[in-house]
Amino acid sequence: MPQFSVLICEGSYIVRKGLVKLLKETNKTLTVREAADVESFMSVLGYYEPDIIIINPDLFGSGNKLIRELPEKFRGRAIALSSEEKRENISLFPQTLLYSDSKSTILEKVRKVYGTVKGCRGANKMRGTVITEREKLIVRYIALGLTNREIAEKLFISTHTVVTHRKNITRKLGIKTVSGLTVYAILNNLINIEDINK
Amino acid sequence: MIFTADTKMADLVHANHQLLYVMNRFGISLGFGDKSVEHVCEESGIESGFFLEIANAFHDEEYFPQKQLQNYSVSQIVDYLKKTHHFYLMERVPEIEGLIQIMISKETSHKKSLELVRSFFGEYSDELSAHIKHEDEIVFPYALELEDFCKRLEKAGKPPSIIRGYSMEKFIEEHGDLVEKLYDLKNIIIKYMPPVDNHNLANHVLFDLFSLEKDVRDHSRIEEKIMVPKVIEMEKLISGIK
Ligand SMILES: [Fe+2]
Ligand SMILES: [Fe+2]
Repeated sequence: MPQFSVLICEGSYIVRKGLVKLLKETNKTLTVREAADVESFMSVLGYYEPDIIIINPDLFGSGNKLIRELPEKFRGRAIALSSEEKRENISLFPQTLLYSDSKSTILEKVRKVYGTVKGCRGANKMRGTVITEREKLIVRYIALGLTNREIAEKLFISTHTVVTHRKNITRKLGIKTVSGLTVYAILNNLINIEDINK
Repeated sequence: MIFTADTKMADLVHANHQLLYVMNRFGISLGFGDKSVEHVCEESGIESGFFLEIANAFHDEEYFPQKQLQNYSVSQIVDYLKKTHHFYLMERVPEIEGLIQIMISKETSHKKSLELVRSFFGEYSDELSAHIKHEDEIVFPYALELEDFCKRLEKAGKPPSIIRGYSMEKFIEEHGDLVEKLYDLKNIIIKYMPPVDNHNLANHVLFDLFSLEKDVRDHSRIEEKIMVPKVIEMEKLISGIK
């Protein structure tokens, strides 16, 4: 069984503890963290990246924009937890656990989300962190001091596409600056030091 | 966790050892036993309210200075910030440069790659120096002059020219975070350098870079959260009388 991590945000102590117990039954290697209010929930999110979040939208209040941003950020991995079916903002979540749900219903819903998490992980692996040949070429041009427009002209693509490539390169390599990319290019023999001084 | 006057000084260090830097800059030395912040500050001749504001803002990104605690002067803040600048340029940067230099001298197979690291860090140190020079020579004198002017408000005439040529709005607009290159350098060493001979030295350099990055980030936040609001208040005061 793969490891999953869950972060719960629910005000009711009894409900929260009950849910934790139930979730642990589904998966022994599960890591669960709890927050009783939005503030502590957000502070946990500051340093911890759970696979799944389960939140009670009532805690957020209707004006809070987080309640829109969170389901978007976590996509299929955000679950609403609610006392009744017709509460505000529930429709933003792909899955809802109700206080009145039976044990088997809850387990069924949660397992579906586990499936989504596995899917995401697979996709992440596929995307990888290795840069493509095309991106290597662009790193080379950046290191040689070419502007986005010059790179675009050389490769017959739009500057917009160059910008997208650069974003992907930065994400994959973890290098943001031109000088950083230059060092990377030299270390990986994409260019020679002599080339830069030309 | 928010530190108060009753918090034990030792607990600050346990909560966040980067605060040792802050204590250094205030001239507080170790060995404070179980004394409270207030007690230690009093002994060292420091205003504990000001120390706490800096320590809290440094420690907690979310911390926002409380109005009632803001009775310290701009010159106190500037003094603290200048000490930090001095520490970066005179101690931190030379220390890291020295470590890289030793690494190069001990390296047998990948000297060239390490030279790249050295020149990259050199670029960073130039960037840092320029940033600091700008603050020391333009921003801080501006803030101090403004404070001086406000003190003499009753008899003052027109604001001096330096005040008219700059503003905090401009400062915020231009203020860079100074950590991009450090971030890159860390990744280059962690992910892309060929294996070097001396692991221990490489670790040293990395630890220092992590700690410098955090320190610089916290320093910038203190400039933006503690100095800026204070100076803006004075700007408002002056624009009101013009
Ligand atoms: Fe500074
Ligand atoms: Fe600064």
